[in-house]
Amino acid sequence: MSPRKSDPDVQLMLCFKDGDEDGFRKLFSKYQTQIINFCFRFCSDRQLAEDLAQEVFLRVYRAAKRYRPKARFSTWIYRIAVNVCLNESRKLKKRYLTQSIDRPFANADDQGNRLPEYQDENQISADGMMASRQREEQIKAALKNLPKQQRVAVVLRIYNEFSYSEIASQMSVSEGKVKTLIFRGRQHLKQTLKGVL
Amino acid sequence: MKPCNVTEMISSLIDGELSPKDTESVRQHLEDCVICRKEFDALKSVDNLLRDVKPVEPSYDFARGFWKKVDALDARKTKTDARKTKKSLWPIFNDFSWGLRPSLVSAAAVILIAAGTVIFYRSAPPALDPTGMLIAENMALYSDYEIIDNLELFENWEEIIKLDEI
Repeated sequence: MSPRKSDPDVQLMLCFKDGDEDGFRKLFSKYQTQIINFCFRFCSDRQLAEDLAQEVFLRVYRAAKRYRPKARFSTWIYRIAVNVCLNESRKLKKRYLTQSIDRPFANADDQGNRLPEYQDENQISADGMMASRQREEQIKAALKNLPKQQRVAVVLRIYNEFSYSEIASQMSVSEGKVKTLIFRGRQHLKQTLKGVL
Repeated sequence: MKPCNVTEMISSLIDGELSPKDTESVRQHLEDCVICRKEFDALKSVDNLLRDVKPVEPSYDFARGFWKKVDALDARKTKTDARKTKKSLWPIFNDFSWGLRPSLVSAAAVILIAAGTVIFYRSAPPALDPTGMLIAENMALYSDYEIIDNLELFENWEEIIKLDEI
């Protein structure tokens, strides 16, 4: 069955193409969190992620007149998101470099040294939260240190669970390349997160 | 010791992207090879670790900010459309492509020059006697050398010569 018939989101986009703005509003409401999170996992900056996501929706809004469904709507909108993230990352490279992305990760020993000798329940809870937050920061930093194409492929696979063929379409590369990007990305993350695994 | 050459396939196995035949063969290999099984566990742990990162929710003004940008976009579009309408008041020029416009201007210039030439010659005064024109052109010169003031001397030129001969 063609994506035009089977995908309700494609139908909504076609309604918007015909002038029904409600179709777009429904798509915006459905995809806003997903797209913000995709951008956030790509850039690790909340404000920037929202700016990127707004740019994605603006491009969808502007593209309505020439929209022709060739794939699922989600594949199409993520293709736009990939382009926006990759292009913006080029522009913002300098800004990224000025941030402390190369800050050394705290390893297991460091965390062990920081544990207080005597603990009460509240302290354990606070320390647990802190450790959890710290681990989250390490994961974000590890993701941000991945080469951008590996990062995109890994995020689309692990967080969004797209198939290799969909990722290939979103990134405009071959399935073989997607397979390699994800494999290398995982290897890279395994090395970087050695202390956390 | 390094894992075997199926490492990339292990990654694909985790993603469920192998054919049934390859899936079976890699699974069989993992049962026999400790190193590859460790690799499989490590890669699975990476995935689980990444999934631990909590998703973010859109900020309260995300949608508002977006619609503001849409309004700005629409306003810009309206302005552009208005400019296009203004331009269309010149339908002839709008109909011609930029490649044809220079030829149009050249043709207009040739017609203007031809018409100007015809009008000029038709309205020109009758031609003057060439000698009279020559004298008129040199009047200033004659005046400078006081020739005109002493013209009366030339009226009796022959008598003057005769006086000199005496």
